[in-house]
Amino acid sequence: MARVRLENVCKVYGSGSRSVKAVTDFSLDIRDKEFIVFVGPSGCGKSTTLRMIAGLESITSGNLFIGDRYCNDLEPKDRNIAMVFQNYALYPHLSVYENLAYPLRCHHMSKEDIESRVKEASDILGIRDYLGRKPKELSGGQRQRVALGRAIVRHPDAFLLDEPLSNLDAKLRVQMRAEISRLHQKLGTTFIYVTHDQTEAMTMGDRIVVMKDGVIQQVDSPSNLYDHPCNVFVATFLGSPQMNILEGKITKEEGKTRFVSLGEKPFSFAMNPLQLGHLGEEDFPLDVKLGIRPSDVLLGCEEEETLFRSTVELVERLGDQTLVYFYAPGRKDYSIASTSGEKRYSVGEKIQVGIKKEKAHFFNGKTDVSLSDVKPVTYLSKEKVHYLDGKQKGKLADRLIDASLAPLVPSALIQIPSSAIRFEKTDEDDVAIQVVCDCSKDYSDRIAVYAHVKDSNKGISFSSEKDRKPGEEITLYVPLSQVDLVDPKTMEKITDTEKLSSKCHPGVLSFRKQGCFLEAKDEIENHEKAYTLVRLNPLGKKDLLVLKGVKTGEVLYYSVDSSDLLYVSMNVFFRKRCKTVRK
Amino acid sequence: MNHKVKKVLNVTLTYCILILVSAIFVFPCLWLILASFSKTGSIYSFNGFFPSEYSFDSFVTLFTDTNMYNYPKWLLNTFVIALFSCLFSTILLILTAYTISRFEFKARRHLMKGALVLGMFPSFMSMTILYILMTQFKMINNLWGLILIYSCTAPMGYLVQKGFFDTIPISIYEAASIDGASNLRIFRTITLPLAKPMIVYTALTSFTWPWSDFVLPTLLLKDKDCYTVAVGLMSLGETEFSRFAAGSVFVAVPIVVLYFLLIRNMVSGMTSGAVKG
Repeated sequence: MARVRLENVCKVYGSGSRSVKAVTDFSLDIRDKEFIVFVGPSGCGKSTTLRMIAGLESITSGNLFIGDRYCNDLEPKDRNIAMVFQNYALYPHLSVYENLAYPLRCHHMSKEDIESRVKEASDILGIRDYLGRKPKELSGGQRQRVALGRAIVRHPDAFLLDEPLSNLDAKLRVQMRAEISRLHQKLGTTFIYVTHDQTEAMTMGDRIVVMKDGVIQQVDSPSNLYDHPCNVFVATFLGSPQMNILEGKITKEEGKTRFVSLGEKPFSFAMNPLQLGHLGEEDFPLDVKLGIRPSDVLLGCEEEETLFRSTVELVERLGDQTLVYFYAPGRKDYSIASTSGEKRYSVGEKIQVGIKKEKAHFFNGKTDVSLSDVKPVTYLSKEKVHYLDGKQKGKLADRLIDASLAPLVPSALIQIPSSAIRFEKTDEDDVAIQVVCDCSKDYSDRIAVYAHVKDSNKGISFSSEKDRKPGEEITLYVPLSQVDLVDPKTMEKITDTEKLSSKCHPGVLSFRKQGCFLEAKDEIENHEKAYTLVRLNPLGKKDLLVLKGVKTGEVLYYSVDSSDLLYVSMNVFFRKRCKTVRK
Repeated sequence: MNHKVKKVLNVTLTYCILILVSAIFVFPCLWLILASFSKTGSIYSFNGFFPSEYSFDSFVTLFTDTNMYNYPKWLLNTFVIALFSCLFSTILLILTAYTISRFEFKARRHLMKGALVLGMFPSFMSMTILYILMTQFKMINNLWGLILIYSCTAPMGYLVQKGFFDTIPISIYEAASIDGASNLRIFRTITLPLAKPMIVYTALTSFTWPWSDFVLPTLLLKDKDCYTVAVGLMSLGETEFSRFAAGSVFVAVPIVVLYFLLIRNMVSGMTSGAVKG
């Protein structure tokens, strides 16, 4: 039983220009006894993340803690975790009993202990009758039970399950789904479950991590994910049939906010401004995407509720519900409505369509981010130093960027992740921001607060446990390590917050008239090291520059062609082993 | 022509071709076996293709008349060489193939390419240098010299074995390493049992090659006492044809026995039931 903590974990395959980033800046705190599900389309990095936790893949940068142990460099066998594979991975030449006993034998347990543990596990999973059989004599469901059993016997700190049900047929899958949930309740161990099946994710997880292209999109409870998706991707990924997305605009006229759809025959309706979270006057008119779940589309409604008329294009009867396909303004593709199975529709029939307005989701038309949710990051202008109190201003500048590097990126923005916002000072170095509350919105387990920075109109949103009244002044604290500087053009981080694994040592990079200098920050053992610079080239791509044959403590002069170098990130690390010199 | 007649014709034709091909293959063997039973011993006394009289004499003299031609000694030499070469080659070959199949390391691709290119050269190209090396090491007329060469060149032919190891799903290894097994333990308790058919195949091939090789022993074994069967039979006089034939027939016996002993271990499908993919 253990908490699993990932801090800024990255995974890069390959090196140089051919490198591929599989997982980017993955930070997650998995609580003890939690059932967490990683879900996303194939290739989103969910399995890679799981394999990094298991130790089957190395962690390029960032930190991994299982319990209180730092696990980046531990062998899989020393992490005390158990894993269930998609294809079961049973040992084919061993009987079921021996398969279950294998991990225990590896840990040199006594014969009696092995026997009692195997008996215990086989009783839990109901495989006692098959103990003498070989895996090939078992059915798919039985094999998967044996694989689960092999994980249980270890009494591990955490269970990692990599799409364990995707090889089973539909009926067995439902059965095993319930069985795994029951197992979790019985064992009370941390479960980390990877799947691409949204039904599994929604039914099994205490919390779900939705991933796309190696980046976490949203981490939340299943109901919150369904009711409050943070962006269009999450909204359309979860829920079947998927959410209808219609394009349109939000306008504000005479104090009233209205949604106006695109299309030849647009429709519009007045909306509750609270649904938009935090918007300034200058934001209107705003391109938005309206998201509405098929179950929230009303067909054949009364005249006053009708938004537009359309024609039934296709009908799918599923028994308890009927799916009606039609075209809606603002969407080129079909839109779908789901109605109760009793109602009959036929192709070509004229329908009056309305929506449950309070169930509508609004997303920014450009960024696809939900307008009604807490923004994951807030960008504040660097020049507005009064965002930060006097003492910290100096420190912040030190931490974020070398003074002489500043002219290179004059308009850099300060990036504050909303997940890092605290209401109490936890560290001397914390950055403080004074804000005034505008409005708040009640979610089931938290309250979203929309505020603006004091003496400025810049909006900031964050989650709070208690309700905040409009006009209330709040001081927010952000750990210095979570604050970053970004280039407004590329939105790339100038400071690289990817933490270094234990193999690397931090160094300080400074710009002087002659060029750029590197100095070792920590005391390093006295042997030759190579310096690795993470450099951002003009295309915004990361580039590793390795300088060889430099002695510890030596100040390195490093000359760069100004047209070539855009800016150099802060992290310079000293590698124990040198690679080739690239420049 | 109806379907049934067509089918019968088809089968008949297939069998005819098969019989013809097998006759071509069987004839030399049959001729050799019959020649070994020739009474007179000389090839000139044959009645046409086949001997005129048959007896067991050649086989008896093979083992009794050891003054000039010590066949039992040759057989023993060949057996020693083949046995140890088989042992060492199998170990080296399996380890090489497993390492290249399972582990990613820096020179892996280069090693594989290198082995492939080197394998394209005919083996007699190395004869001169081998002879010189063996003279330097004082290993001429030494069975261990041959064993050394056979064992050390064996890993070059790792490709078949690598292909086999590639078919063992990597998730089994990963599961074992999570279960707490070290690399050596995984190799011992997982890989070896799974690779049993491959090990048998490897052992069989690496036994038969030294057993029947002629070129290398001729090159390195000059002393009559060190001869292997192949070299020894070549040294037989012209009139000893039936003895030659008897020796050639008898030398096949251990291989056939070995084959039938081991063949039942070469069943495929050992990994079935491990994973579903």
